Order: sequence, then structure tokens, then C-alpha cells
Amino acid sequence: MNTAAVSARLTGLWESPHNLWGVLTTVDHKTLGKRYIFTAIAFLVIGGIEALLMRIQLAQANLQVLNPETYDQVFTMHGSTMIYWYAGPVLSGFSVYLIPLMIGARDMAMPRLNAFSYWVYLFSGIFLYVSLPVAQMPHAGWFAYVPYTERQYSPGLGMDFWAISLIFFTISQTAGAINFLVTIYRHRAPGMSLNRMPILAYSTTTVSVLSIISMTTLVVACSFLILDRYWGFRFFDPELSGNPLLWQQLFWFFAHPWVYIIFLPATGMISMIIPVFSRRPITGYTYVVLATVLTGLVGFGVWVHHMFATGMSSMSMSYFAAASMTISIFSTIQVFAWLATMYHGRVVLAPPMVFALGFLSLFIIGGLTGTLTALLPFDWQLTDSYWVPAHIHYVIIGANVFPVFAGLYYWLPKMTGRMMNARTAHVSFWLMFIGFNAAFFPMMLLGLQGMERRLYTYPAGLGWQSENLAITVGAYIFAIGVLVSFINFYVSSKRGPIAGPNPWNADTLEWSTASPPDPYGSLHIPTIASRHPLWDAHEEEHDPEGARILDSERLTISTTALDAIPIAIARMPTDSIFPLLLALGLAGVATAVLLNSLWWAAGAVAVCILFAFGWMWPSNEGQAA
Amino acid sequence: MSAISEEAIGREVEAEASAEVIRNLPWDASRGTWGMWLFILSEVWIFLGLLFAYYYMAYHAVSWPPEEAPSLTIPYIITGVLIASCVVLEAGRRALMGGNRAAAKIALAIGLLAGAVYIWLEVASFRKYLSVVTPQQDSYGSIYYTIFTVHGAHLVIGMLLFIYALLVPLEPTARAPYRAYYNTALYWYFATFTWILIFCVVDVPPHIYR
Repeated sequence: MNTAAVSARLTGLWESPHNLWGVLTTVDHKTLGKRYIFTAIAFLVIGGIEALLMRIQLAQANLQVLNPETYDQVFTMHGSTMIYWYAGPVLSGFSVYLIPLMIGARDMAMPRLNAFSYWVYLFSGIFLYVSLPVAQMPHAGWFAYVPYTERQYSPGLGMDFWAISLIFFTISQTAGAINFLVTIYRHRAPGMSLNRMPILAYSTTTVSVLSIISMTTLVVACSFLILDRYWGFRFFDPELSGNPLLWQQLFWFFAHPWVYIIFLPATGMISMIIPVFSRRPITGYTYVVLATVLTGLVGFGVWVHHMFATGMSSMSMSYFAAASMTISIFSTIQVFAWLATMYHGRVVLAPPMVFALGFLSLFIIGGLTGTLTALLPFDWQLTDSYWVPAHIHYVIIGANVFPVFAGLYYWLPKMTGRMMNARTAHVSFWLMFIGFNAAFFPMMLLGLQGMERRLYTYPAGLGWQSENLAITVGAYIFAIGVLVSFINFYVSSKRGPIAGPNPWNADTLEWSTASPPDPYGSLHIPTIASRHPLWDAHEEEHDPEGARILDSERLTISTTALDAIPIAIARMPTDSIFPLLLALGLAGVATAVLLNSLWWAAGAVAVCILFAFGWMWPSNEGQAA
Repeated sequence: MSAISEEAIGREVEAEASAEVIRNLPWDASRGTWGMWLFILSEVWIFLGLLFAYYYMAYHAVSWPPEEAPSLTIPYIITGVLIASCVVLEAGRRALMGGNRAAAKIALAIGLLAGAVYIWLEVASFRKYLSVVTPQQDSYGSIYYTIFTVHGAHLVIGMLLFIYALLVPLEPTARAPYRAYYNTALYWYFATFTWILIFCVVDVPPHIYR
């Protein structure tokens, strides 16, 4: 068998042309994954600039750098950008890139839907940021409580931008979730039974289920807000049988699972990284999987802990407090599994591991501050004080940003084919770690001293100025650390040493492909006999008759959900312009709704329907999914 | 530790994925059906969110509905129309399994007609009820019209799926590897199921408790 000829044939089938048309029509999960990560990092930078602006305003008492309305807009955009448009999609991007490679499939189950999810995500973020040049930014935080966000108290288009862009965003996330679930349960390589699946696949599955259920609740909440603001509906008006707390109930039922969605795949990535750099398999694989799934499941039962100060009955709030404390058990199981893995292994302090250790320490602190606020009396003292942003950022930066950097140092060699510079990575890490703690630890002290959050300034003479100044300095040090890593990524991806397929001597399937991987993944669909395909003696691509090459069309193997026994051959679609067109059509609908032009909205919907038909139309060559 | 050696597992897996097995595998037609089930799951949650809102308001309200509840005549007719259309679709599915494509297409056309009848009836019902309460008048009006309009929108999606299914191969083919008829019918059953759900939760109880 002529490997070069086969490889050329497969490349011809799977590769997208290197021109503008190829860029707009590609459905290659590797390209889309890199786009997701790049776009999410762009939003991270924008949100970071917003944070640095806020910190200038708060560096000293009674500053007038930003007036109150502008400050509100900046902190709203900071929170919304970071929580929605950075934290979720960056992890989606890693999963989109990695999951097919890790499970031995040639692409996701529905590649065109994958492309559509990316375009919708990009356009939803652009849609939100159109509010910046037209000076109509939302100003009610990332949580948008009513009645402040009703038209009467928030005139202008700010909250409309917010609500509509979020509904637009949920389409991306839900479509992506459906795609992940079908991919993971249908296209695992033969032999990759459930108990041999990488942990990142379990995390992705869990958050996909969470997404499907929770995002729809956000759609309901934002729809109610839009109907109230545009058409005078009365969902939240207590004088007309409505209830302002209804917003909070619907929003937090979505938003609490959302914080697990931005957390669990990061822990999944850590569960891939720590074993490799401890030179041994993870301890307690089954427990880590169970902890992940249970965190997601019990995460549906704790949302009221964001509403402890609303005056609900003690009985119901106590239930939610208990559930919130229970969730910490599952995270603790994961932490102990990682610690045991390191203890029983031989730790290698390469850059990914250094960031993973940073994650571990920050997440433990953040998690502990969370369990404290799960206690009702403690929460009543500290709700809406600076304790809460301290907790939030320890868990979000600790358990999302640090794992993302660990993941970037770990997988950029695979994506770019070149190693990142280790010394620069260490410099960046310490700047980020010291800067972060200098910024957010004093926030806990401020919270305990009673400084309220979401304020544009504070009076002098309360003893808060030195801590606020330290926080601002720390934030800038953290930002410099982030910048150092970005420079490292950019320069090393052009001039770093060649990485080869498996520079870390890792165990999972993505490391058996070239760096960067060929467009078709691996030459033969592999067979799997253990959890650690590259560490065991089984030869994954042993295929003497070449039956698992599947080079007649774009094909991959479908297997059973539990035991991954081959059951069918799946035809995969060719590249298509329709995912992009449909995403543009939806952007048109969103714009028409924003401007309250219902005839234009109806027209845009009709255009979308035509594009959807076009997408699904049986073509002469490939398939439509 | 397992008593089965890694080598044995490896040989077993290779046997399951041997050249002979792979060459005889059928084409995969299930991804569309899986996708449809998951899409239905997400849509069901929209309705559960709407019904939660309904109950939350009802629980906290002094009297609910604040004014006269909508009449049940048209909702009963709609329920009958939708259930009948499901029966027809199921008969069409069985006919398709027996190879009768024409009957299946007729079933789809009947489903499309049922959707049109539903919209006509629902609009009539709204026009009648708007003289009693408007969506801007109080939260009952807001939630009532929202729930039924959202449901109507889902039925319109179902009708679009009928039109699409009438134009493409009903069963999996090389160029269309999905079960167009089956997935469409599945969506319509879901739409009927949610109608029955909101009918039982929103339309009926005010007439029992008054």
C-alpha cells in the first residue's frame, strides 16, 4: 500500500481550498476549532481592556475617569463579554478541535452545523459590540435584573442589544451541544467503549446536556424582556400580577449551569494534562468521571443561591444551600484525584503543568470561598460586597483562564507544529499568578470590610484606597503576564522548534497524528484497546487490508454508543456556503428586531428559510449535515 | 485488574473492526434522528420554562386568571385536529415501511393541511380573546399569548419540515442519508405533545377551579 498516494487521495477529499471561498465554506473541525479559540481570545482581550479601564476608575476614591453611566456600561460589557463570549466558546473551541481527533473520528457528526455554530457565535459577538460605536451599550450587568432593565428605566437600545445578542448566541451554543453529543456517542473509534473514553469527552458531554437544557431558559427570559421592552408586555410588573423575581428565577436557572459549562471542560483539559506530566494515568478515572457528571446534574439544583437576599422562605433557601455545599464534594473528588496522580507519579514542570498547578491552587481558594457563601448567614453578610467578585474571579480565572493557558501551551505544538518557548512561559506564569493574587486577594479583604460591588467609586477615609490601588496594580501585572504569553504563542508558532507528532509523550489519540494534523486526521480509523492508546502495546492503526482507510468519499465510521462496535459508515458533507449564509440571515433577523422593523424581520426569516432549504438540499456530491 | 489481557482485548477489537466487517457495514442514517431528538429536547425545555413562568405567576397572584378564562371550544377542536394528524402520520409511516411512498406523501400533505387549520383556528381564538384581555393589560395576558404564539411558531416550523419532506427522498439515500419522513413525523408528534401539555396546564384548569 502506497502511503503517500493514499494520503494524497484523502487530502484531496478532506482539504478545503486555500482561498477566500475555502475560508468561507470550510467545515473542517480543526480550522473551526482554531477560529473559535482565536475569536474567544480576542473577546478575552476586549473584556480585559474593559477591566483595566474599570480598575483605573477604582484605583483611588472619588475619581472621575469614568462617569457613573459609562462605568456601568463598561462593567456590563466586561462581564458579558468574558462570561458569555470568551469563557464558554474558548472551551468549545478546544473541544471542537480535539474531540474528533481524540475519539478517532475524521470530523464532528454534523460538520456544516459546526461551521454554522462558529459563524453565529462570531456574529452574535459583533452584534453586541455594534452597541459601542453607536454609544448604546447595555448598562445593567451581565445579569440584567428587572425592573431596572425595563424600557421605563433603561431607555435606548442598550438592553435590546444585550438581550437579542444573547438569544443569537444561544443558537450557537445549543447547535454545538447537539453536535458534540451525536459525535461522541456515534463516532468513537472501534473499541473506544465508554470506559476508555478521554475525560475531556465526558466533560464535553456533560456541558452539552447542560447547554441544551439551560440555554433555552435564557431564551425564555430574554424573550420576556424583549416583549416587555418592545411591545409593552407585563411579565415582571407586580401591580399587574407579574413578578420581578421571575426574571431572576429564569436567569439563574440558566446562569448557574452556565458557570459549570465554563468550568467543567477546563477541568477535563486538566485531567488530560496532569497525567501526562505526572508520567502516569489519572488516579480514580471512574470517580473523576462521576464527579464531572454529578457536578453537572446537581448544578441544576442550586440556582437560588444567587438569590439568597431576595426574601424567599428559609425552608426553600436552606435546600439550595445544602445542595450548594454538596456540589463542593464533587469538585473535591476531582482535586484529590489530581493530587493523587501527581503524588504517585513523577512530575515534570513543563509549561502546561505549571499552569495546571496554578489552576489547582487558585481553584481550591475559589472553591473554598464559594462553600462559605453557600452558608446563608455568611452570604447575607457578604452578598453584593467585594467578596463575591473575589470568589467569581478565583474560580473563573483560576479554573477557566489558567486551564486555557495550560491547554494552549499543551496543544499549540499540535496545532502549529512548533514548541512554545518554556522560559517565556514561566515568566508569563509568574506574572499572571502574582498579578492575579495581588488583584483579587485584597478584594476578599475589602468585602469583609464592607465595600460594595458594582459601584463606580467609593468615598475616601474608609481605609479602602490602598487595597484598591494594589488591586489595580495587580490587574495590570496580570495583563502584562497575559501579553507575554501571547507574544510567546505568536513568535514560537512561527520560529519555535519543530514539535513532531508527540512532543510530550502523551497517551491520547490526538498525539498519533502529525503536527499540525493532516486534513483527514489519521490515515486509518484507529482501533482502541485501552484508555491510553499511545502508552499501551496495541497497534491502533494496524489495518493490513486497508479497510479502515475509507478513501472513496468523505467517510468515517459510526459505532454503538456503549461499546463502540462498528455499526455503519457515515457519509460526511462537503464544504458549503450555506452555514455562513444562514448565520448572516439570522443576523439580519436580529438587526430587524432590534430596530423594531417587523416586516424586515419577516423578510429576513423568509430568506433564512430559503437558506436552510439550500443547506439541506440533497446534492450531487456530499451530504447535508 | 481484569483477567482478560490487553492483547486479548486488542485482538477482539480488531476482529470487531476487521476488513470484512467494515466492508459490509450499511450506510449511517441515524445522525439526523439523533439530532432531531436532541433538538426536540431543547424545544421541550422552552415550553417547560414558559410553563414554569406561568405557574410562578399563578402562585404569586391574588386571582388567576385575573379575568375570564378563554373558552375551551376552539382548543378542543385544535386538540382533535392535531391528534388526528398524528394518527394519519403514523399510518403514513407504516405505509412507508411497507414501500408505499405515495401514501406517505399524502400523509405529509394532510399534516400540512392540519397545520394550516390549526393556525386559522388559533388566530380565530386569539381574536375572540383579545376583546377580553390583551397582552399589555396584565401578566396573564402576556404569558397566555406568548405561550400559544410560541407553540404556533413551532407548528409553522413543523409545516416547513412537511414541505421539505415532500420535496426530498423520504427514506435514506446516498445523497440524503437521513430519514426525512420519520424525523419530520417525530417533530410533529412533539408539537402535538406540547399542545396537549399546554392545553392541560393553561386552558383547562381555570375552568375546573372556577
